[in-house]
Amino acid sequence: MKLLILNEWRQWARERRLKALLVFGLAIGAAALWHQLDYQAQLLETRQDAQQESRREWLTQESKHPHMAAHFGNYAYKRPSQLHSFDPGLTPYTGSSVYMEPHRQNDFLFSQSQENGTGLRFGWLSPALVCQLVLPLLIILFSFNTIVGERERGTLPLLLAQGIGFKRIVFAKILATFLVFELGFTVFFALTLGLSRLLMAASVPTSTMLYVWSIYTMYIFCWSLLGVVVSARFRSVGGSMVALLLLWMFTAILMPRMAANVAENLFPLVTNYQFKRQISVAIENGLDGHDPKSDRALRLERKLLERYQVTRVEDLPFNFEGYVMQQGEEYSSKAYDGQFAKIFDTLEKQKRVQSWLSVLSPFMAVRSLSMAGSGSSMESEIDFQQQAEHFRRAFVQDMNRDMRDNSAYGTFDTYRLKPGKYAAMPDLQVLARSLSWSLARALPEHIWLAGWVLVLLALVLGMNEKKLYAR
Amino acid sequence: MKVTANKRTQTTQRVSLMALVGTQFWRFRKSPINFLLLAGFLLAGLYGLYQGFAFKRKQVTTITTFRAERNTNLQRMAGNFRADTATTEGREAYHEAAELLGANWNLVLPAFKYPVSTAIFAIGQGDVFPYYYTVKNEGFFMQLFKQGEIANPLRSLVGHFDTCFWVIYLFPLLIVMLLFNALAAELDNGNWRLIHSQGMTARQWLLSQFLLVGLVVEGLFLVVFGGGLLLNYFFFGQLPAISDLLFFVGANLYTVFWLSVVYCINAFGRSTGTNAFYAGNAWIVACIVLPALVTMLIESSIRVDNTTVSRMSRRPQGTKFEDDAFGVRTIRQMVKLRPQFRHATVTPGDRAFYFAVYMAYHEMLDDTNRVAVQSYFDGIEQRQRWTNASFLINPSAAVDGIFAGLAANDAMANHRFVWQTMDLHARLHEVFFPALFTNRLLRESDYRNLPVFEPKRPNPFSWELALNYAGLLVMSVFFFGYANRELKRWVG
Repeated sequence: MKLLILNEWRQWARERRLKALLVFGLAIGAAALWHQLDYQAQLLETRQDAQQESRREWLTQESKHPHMAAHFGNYAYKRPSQLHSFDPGLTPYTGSSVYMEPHRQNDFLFSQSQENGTGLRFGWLSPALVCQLVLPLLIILFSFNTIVGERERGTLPLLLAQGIGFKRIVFAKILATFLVFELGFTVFFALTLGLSRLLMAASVPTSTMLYVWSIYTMYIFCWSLLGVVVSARFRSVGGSMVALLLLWMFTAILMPRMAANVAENLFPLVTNYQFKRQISVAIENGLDGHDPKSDRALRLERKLLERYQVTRVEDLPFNFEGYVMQQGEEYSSKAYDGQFAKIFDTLEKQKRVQSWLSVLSPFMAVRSLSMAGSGSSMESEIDFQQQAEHFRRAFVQDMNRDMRDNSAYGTFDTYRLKPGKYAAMPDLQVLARSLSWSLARALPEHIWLAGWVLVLLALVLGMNEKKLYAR
Repeated sequence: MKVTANKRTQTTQRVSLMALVGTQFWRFRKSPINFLLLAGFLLAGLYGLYQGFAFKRKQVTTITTFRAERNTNLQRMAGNFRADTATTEGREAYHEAAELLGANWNLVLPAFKYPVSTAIFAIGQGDVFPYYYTVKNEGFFMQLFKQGEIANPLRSLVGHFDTCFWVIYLFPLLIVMLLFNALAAELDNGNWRLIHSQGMTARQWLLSQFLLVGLVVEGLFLVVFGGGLLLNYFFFGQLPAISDLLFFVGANLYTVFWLSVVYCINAFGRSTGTNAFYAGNAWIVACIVLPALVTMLIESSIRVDNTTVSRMSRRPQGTKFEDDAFGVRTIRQMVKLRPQFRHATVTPGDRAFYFAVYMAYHEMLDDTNRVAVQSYFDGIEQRQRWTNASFLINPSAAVDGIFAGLAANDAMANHRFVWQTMDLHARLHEVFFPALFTNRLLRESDYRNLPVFEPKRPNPFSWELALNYAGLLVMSVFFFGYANRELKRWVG
């Protein structure tokens, strides 16, 4: 087996075309690595500075009424993690920052896809893109003639005549391909992690690193198997190459687009106009549509007056205005939650469609798993938005509570926050999620990727020279 | 006599080429896989057209509803002037429309970017940019950078399956699949000697096949293109525009370019395996590798930082607005920039004075922010221009960029829309400010004078487009010429 593998490598070493391909692979990998490291490190620095600046502005604002301070607001900037320099996933397509203020959840704006021109639609060069898209292509170009080439040259019978089993030859060819690319990938992945750790001063748990490494290992093995299996199924080298290239184009280019478009057709996302309108209707007419804002305010007032046995809101033991402000905030939050839940549900359904369709494309499966492992999946993006939203609610509530408990009714123009109040409110801290959290919704992709490997292994095990020559 | 002989030879050659195309068609018809392939491609084209149509319809429906809602609101406010002020409700309604503070809050004008006719073919970046804005009196950028569109990251990640994708990615693929071994297949199966013995040259053989496939591709394109024009007419009331014609020309030039590339591969390749290798890789390099590399280079060379513009949403506030000296100073400063502020009330204690100071501050902020926004937009537009101009090394992405531009679905179109919206904002001030400065209530006539957003159609012609198309043509001629030189050396 060892000799067969070495022989295969020796043959590759003699081919100028393959050497050129390898150089191309290394060059594009190096370019992707350099670009992402440079980009993400700079992005981290810029956004950290912006976040600190936002905090500084919050802390140094003049003493004012709590509600005005809440309206001064805060900004949340999404910061890249270490693995984003390997797989930025969906991050270029989602907003990068949000302005947080009372009464409303603003949109996350300034996505990279708005800033990059139409070129980004062809793919954003990253180590993950190289591994997902270019690596299989190189595997194809190395393996398309492994069996069919031996057959065309007439060297296969010679090998068999030496008493080497056909399966042994096939496995040697698979391993020869797999080992070269696996080694290349491992070095590339380690380099990406090492350099990004150095540049971004962040670390990723070993389990996450191992997980990402292992799914790409499976992917490389899958394409190595595919290359050899297809090579054994065709009678000509040209046919084998055409079939493999078409397979690559279908699974890596056409299928992802079709899946995303079909998912969008099946579960269309609301427009921002519909979204905002539904929220304003819910706030104005009540969540059930039959509870107008004015009725709610009156009911609230009556309830409080009854509970505290007073006749005027001025006589309540707290500032009624602050209380109403917080109640309004909570009500609008419920309206936002309801509409956001619908959007997230639609996105989840779209993702599920794509998950199921990834049974036809190992590229889609590995892309989804890689994004989940790297913290750049849809769930991670939604999680960041939700954490920012929790922060918004917390600081607005804090300001409303101060107004309710410390100020008197009708003192909007005169009451001011006490010194130290701004600093007492903690800064936005984004929690990093564990690997198990990220992978919770990616079960189908694991099954499909494993399924591809198992089916291809079964096909390899089912091969024999008689079947080969019978074709 | 000699001239007539030459003419006769040329006619004979033309006829023989057409006859050869007929023969190729007969051969083409024999393979049911070819028809299956064409049917698949046509279906993909129609599906792409449907995607563009569905996206455009969604935008048009939203804009129509949005405009109607905003206009109804404005009409309702204008109607409030006729309310019975003897009743509490009537007084409230009147004040909502006439009082400066109320009007400042409630006067919301709609601005919208109605999709142009070519938008049905190219969604481009249309999904990531807002196509309608609301405009109020306060600071423009403060409002602008709170309004976005819900983009679908799952779809943006892979791009749209629109007509543009069909042309940019799938046309070359179809050409490669049908023609990559047009000559090599005959060499491989030993038929070439037989064909050549009939007096056929390699060039004639290839030309006839390429002509046939070119016509077939053109036929497919015409079906989808014509379908798009019909949909535009029947569903959106849009007649064909110049941008449609330019899209048509661009798609054809791009097809010819790919025919020339594969023609060249055929001229140099001698076996199906070699041709598959080069044709497949040409597609991958042109449609995947080069666009990603060029985008990376452009992104690295032209840095775009959004942190400054992302911080323009905060509403100005603080005790400075209660400071009379600050107020007078601000108004005086503003007079230099906007002469209309000369009439502003500078009487401390007057409500209109504080409001004018507040508005003047917003105006000054807008003036300052405009520089940062312009620079931010310039960076993005520069990136797009470089993509469009990279046709020599990056034809697919360059043509895609040009198509998105023709469809007004790129960043430049969005930026034009932003500046037009800013113009609407300025015209709203022209109605609001005279009342504010003279400290009077708004009148019904002011509502009649409210500006209406009129989107300006961009000029579809540009130097980039002309260069891009000329470049495609020159490259095609070069590839055909280069290949023909090689084919002349073929002896059979």
